[in-house]
Amino acid sequence: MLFNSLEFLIFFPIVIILYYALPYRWRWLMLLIASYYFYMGWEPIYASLLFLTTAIDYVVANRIQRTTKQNHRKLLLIVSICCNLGILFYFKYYNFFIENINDLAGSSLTYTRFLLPVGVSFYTFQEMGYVIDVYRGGLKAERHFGKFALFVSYFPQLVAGPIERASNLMHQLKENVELRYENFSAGGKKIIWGLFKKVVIADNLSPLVDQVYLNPENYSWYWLLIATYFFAIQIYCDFSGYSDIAIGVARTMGVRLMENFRLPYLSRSIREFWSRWHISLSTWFRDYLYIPLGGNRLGARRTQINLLLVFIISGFWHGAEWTFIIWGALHGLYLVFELILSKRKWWNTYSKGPTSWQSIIGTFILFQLVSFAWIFFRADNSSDAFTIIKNLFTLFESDVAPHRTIQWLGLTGLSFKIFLILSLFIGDKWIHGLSRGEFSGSLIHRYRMALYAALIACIVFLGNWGEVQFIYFQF
Amino acid sequence: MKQIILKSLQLFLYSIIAYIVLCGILTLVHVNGRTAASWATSYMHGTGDHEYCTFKDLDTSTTRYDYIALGSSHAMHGYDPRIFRKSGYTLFNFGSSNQHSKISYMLAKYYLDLPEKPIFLIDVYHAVFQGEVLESNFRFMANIPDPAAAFSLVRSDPDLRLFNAFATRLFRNEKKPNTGCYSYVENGYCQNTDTISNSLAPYDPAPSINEERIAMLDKLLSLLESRNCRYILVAHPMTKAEGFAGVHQHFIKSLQPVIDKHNAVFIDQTLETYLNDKEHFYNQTHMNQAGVELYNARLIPLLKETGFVPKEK
Repeated sequence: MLFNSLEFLIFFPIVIILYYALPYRWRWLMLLIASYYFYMGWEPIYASLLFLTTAIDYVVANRIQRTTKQNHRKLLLIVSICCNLGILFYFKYYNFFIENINDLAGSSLTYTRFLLPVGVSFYTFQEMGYVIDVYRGGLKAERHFGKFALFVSYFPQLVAGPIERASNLMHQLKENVELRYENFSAGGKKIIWGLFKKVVIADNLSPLVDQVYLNPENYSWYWLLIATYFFAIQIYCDFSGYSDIAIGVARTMGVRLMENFRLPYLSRSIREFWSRWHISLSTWFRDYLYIPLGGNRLGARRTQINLLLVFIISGFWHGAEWTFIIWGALHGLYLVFELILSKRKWWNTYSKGPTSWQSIIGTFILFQLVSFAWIFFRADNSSDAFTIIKNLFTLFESDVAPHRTIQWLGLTGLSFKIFLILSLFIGDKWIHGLSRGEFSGSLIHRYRMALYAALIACIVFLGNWGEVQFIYFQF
Repeated sequence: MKQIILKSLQLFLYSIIAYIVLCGILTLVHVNGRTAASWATSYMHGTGDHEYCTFKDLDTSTTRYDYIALGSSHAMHGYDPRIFRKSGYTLFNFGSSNQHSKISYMLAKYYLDLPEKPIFLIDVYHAVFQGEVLESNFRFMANIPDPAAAFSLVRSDPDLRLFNAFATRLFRNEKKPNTGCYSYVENGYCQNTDTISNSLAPYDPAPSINEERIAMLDKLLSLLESRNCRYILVAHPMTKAEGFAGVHQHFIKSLQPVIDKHNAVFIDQTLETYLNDKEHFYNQTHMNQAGVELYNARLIPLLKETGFVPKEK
């Protein structure tokens, strides 16, 4: 079930009404049933996989808590990690490895024909984080199986995050939340802005991006550049839009999920970018992989290796394709380069307090670097990605005729899309400001109801209501 | 609770006002000869094009038609009223871009309940029986003169985009169309004389057929039967692209239960070989004028043979 579908428009109010109408002791059960129903909207059989990983991690976490022997605890942790990664490997990476083995060895090993279960990368990581926290002693294992199952399957963030920590979510799911206007108001605003980003901006940019990236060899540098910039905006609006809706939906039930994006394209360095982009995943990798690998405590060389390794794995988490691995490696390299630069005095001055011009130039360079890496993320295969890069720098004449639809989009259609992108940056500033209680007394604050009404009108009228999926569902 | 309901109602009211204002602005403001709405959305269609001319022709015509052709752009470019006239028959071509069975049903219901009880030539083509095909809905929404028929489109296909297209009708100046009818000839027919320049693309061997579209064809045939109108199913010739024969057979298999149920006569010319890909088509699936002349010259005797000619002629 998609957030931007008619089914969800019916499902969500029913869940909210039941949630507040039911006595507190039954709420968890209703939410659990609703979450599984939400998940079964895609491929009902995969709910059993979700249940299986939940059961394994529930048992393992409780055993870890009861066991005092360190060896046993470690063994149980390994069992949990192997189960989660095993499922992830089989459903997501098996065919990738088979394909590469077949290519290299000339063998003909058979592929698995299972579909990728929606959200599998998200919920397995959430569960692994929980078991590791219990193992480390920072968290008590949940005794109530149903409530633990709800933590894993909580529908607002089940299929595309944010990847929540048990320490933040579990206790909130147990709270007796009262019906409060503040929760509805804050949640509703998030939902509206998230929907605007998704259906008005991301989905209106996607036809042009899809068309150019389908046959990149047919387009000159001009269209390749526009499509790549548009994709950078599209993926941000698509994913942060989803996160905002998820946060908003949870908030109407009094649950505060973690923020997943904080205006990442306004960052001035790659390091800052990763502290603002897909925060729940980057902090997950930091806490459960980068730091256990030694983080930055084992010398400069080891730090660089750790960074590269974490980002390559992060790329691989996104998808079983070489393009994602290259994308991750590129970001790892950017960070290593930044780490080397950080030893320069001028970099320290820049990162601590840049002037306005330095900020603008820094943000501009960051956007170019990130967009360049997106080429690998979006291209269908690495060969297409290299074609795009080659044509971006060599195919200056427009001797390759753009497709009719691109011509049809013309300057006016393009102007509209650029107008949408500008509205994103202004809107993001305003919405973030309003949610933090800024602008009080200003016109925006006074007329905020009209602003949200205008956004709703744009969502209804300008939204691309075709069959467009959320990009991150494929991960 | 009271505050939540009151504020929600307030937001709802404001949103309606904002929607009306936005809809009005985007419909009334024109950029490069097109409404801002059609620039700002990927689906919105302004008035004009062949559907505009088709409705205009039908509304002003005093001819008693022997045949009405329904179907996609292949019908629109495939049944020439001038060739039928030479054989002594009158034909009005109500084919339109991506017209699927739901649209054909709506047209038959609202516009084609003609006293002369014409014979319906229903052109069937696999692609309009697949997936989401809304182009024809938007084209008709922009051009259909009867608001009730336009609203029935919104009701029949609940889709926000169709509702938006309906809303823009309320602000539009109906007097002149946004675009002309460039390839339009007469009586709904559009002509193209180009020939194929590209190579033919192969087909996906087993396209998924939308069951709802098949059910709507069934409903259309039942409607025509209830009005005592005769009808015949026809399939136009196609190029010999790789894999198409399999696609067509798969499609006909899906159609067969409806054909059997209504005991319908079906003239299938799709896999016939008398047309030449290079000379008689202007693209992979559409015949050009030379192709139409050959096809219609072969079809008319077949209609006579099967008894699908006006009783008085």
